[in-house]
Amino acid sequence: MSNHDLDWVAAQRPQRSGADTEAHDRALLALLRHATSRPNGEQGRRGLSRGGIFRSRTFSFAAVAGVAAIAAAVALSAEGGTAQLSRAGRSPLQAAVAHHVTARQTLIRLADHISPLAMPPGDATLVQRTTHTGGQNVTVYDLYGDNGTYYFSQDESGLPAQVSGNDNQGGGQFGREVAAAKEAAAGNVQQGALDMANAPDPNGKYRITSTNETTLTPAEAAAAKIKAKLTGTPAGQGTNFDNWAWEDSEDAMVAGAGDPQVRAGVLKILALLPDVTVTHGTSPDGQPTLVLTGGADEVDPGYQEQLTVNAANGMPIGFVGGPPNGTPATQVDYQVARVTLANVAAGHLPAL
Amino acid sequence: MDHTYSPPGVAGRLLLSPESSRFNSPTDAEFVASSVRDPDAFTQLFERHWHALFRFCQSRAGSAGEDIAAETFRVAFDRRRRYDARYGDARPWLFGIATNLLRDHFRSARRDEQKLTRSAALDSPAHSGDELNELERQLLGPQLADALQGLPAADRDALLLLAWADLDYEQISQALGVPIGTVRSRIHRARQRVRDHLETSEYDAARNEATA
Repeated sequence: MSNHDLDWVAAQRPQRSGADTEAHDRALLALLRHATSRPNGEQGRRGLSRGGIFRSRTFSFAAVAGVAAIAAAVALSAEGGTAQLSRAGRSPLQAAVAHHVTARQTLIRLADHISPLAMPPGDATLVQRTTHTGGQNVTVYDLYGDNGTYYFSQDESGLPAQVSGNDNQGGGQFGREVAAAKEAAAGNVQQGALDMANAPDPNGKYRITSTNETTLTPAEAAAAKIKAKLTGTPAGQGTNFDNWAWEDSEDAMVAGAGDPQVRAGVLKILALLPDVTVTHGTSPDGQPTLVLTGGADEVDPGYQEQLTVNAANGMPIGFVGGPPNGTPATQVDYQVARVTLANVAAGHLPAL
Repeated sequence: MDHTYSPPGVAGRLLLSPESSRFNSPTDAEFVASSVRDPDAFTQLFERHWHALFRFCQSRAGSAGEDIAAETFRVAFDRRRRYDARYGDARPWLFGIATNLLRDHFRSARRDEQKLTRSAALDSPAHSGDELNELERQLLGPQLADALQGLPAADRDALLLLAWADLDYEQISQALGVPIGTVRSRIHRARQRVRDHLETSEYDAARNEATA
């Protein structure tokens, strides 16, 4: 018998475009709430009788309310410090998942806020980069052209010669990271994330072909970590995708700092990573900040990296790398300005 | 002054080995068994099958699909002690629960429709109780709804589990809790109806073309 009839039925399947990730998180949280609310030995007696779906809808709304409650708890406990989830009655797994969901919501919310912002005038982003290490402060200058060029100088006065001499040192590297972020900002987050993870390859060769093949889902990763803590077994390492996407996103955030679309895209990509946490705070000069911390999955169990951005516009403010709860090995401050390459070549530089 | 590029102060790209393979990972039955003592183990089952369940429920029930898929896992959790451990793959079990919930959903919608048209219904022909209602017609789309019009709900469910959920006959038998011979009969009837519809449509199209 020909299967053309079955092929036709399969082709009639409606392709709904739902927010799968958010639906996943809502359903998982609902399941966890349900699982932890019932005594271990209790047999379920919920039938499939009439009204089941209406219970389900109420249940789902309760799950959303649960997420909001958890988010509120995080906000209350996060004033100036690391968000902690310590509500009694929540299992470690539930708390870990909720924590990730909250971090992701924070990043997505900021990305959505930034996306409509207009591109500032100019055709390049100038970054003053001050590194604090070994008791010394070293300030250098990075100039990222919107056309993918990159110029570097150890002092601001040296930049005009670099630009007028066309001493482009980028080789396309930062241009690829920035392009990946823009793709994510445009809505192709998964593709943008893959492009970001593969951006450093000068030949455009894809070495990481799928986030699914090489990484756990956020909830799986959260569950694995909690299990590891509970059982005392070593935590599973993160994946190439997690690590590369994190590192390259940090580069993109600085290289494309002057472009709201790049900042939004980076935030959306970082929201995919399983072990990124977000902390609210205030910078030394009074800016409201979000501190994005890459954990064991993104960096290393014994080393963490933190990217601090302005909580209102996502502009990068600083970077810290070092052992968790230890003295930072590297600390960097950023000052960002939009410029034109022509003005820089002519020696007209902004005061940073 | 040295103007050679020095990399920004972001650090270590790790050379991690590819994610360890998931060969030898526990079966669904093992996850379900573990979840009796350790409820968190059930989340592994959720992660493995959420996407497929969600897509199937969304295709069948539209925006209500998310609630139905979530309810499927809640019901499954409550029934995990009764899971038949002979079946390593839990998909038939989960899709069976989802199919029951979907049927409940459409029945409920039908009752609502009947309340709204109570007076008109007095003049309507008698209903068998599981024919396509307006909501399901809309969700299936006009073509498929026409093709499946008049089929019992059980036949429609079997066909859509085959064509949309990619279950085979034996798995559909497990999902619906009926003998495999019954599944064959239901799907045979449904497919015959679809073929008749397609032939009629093609005949109509050809006739229209000839007369145009």
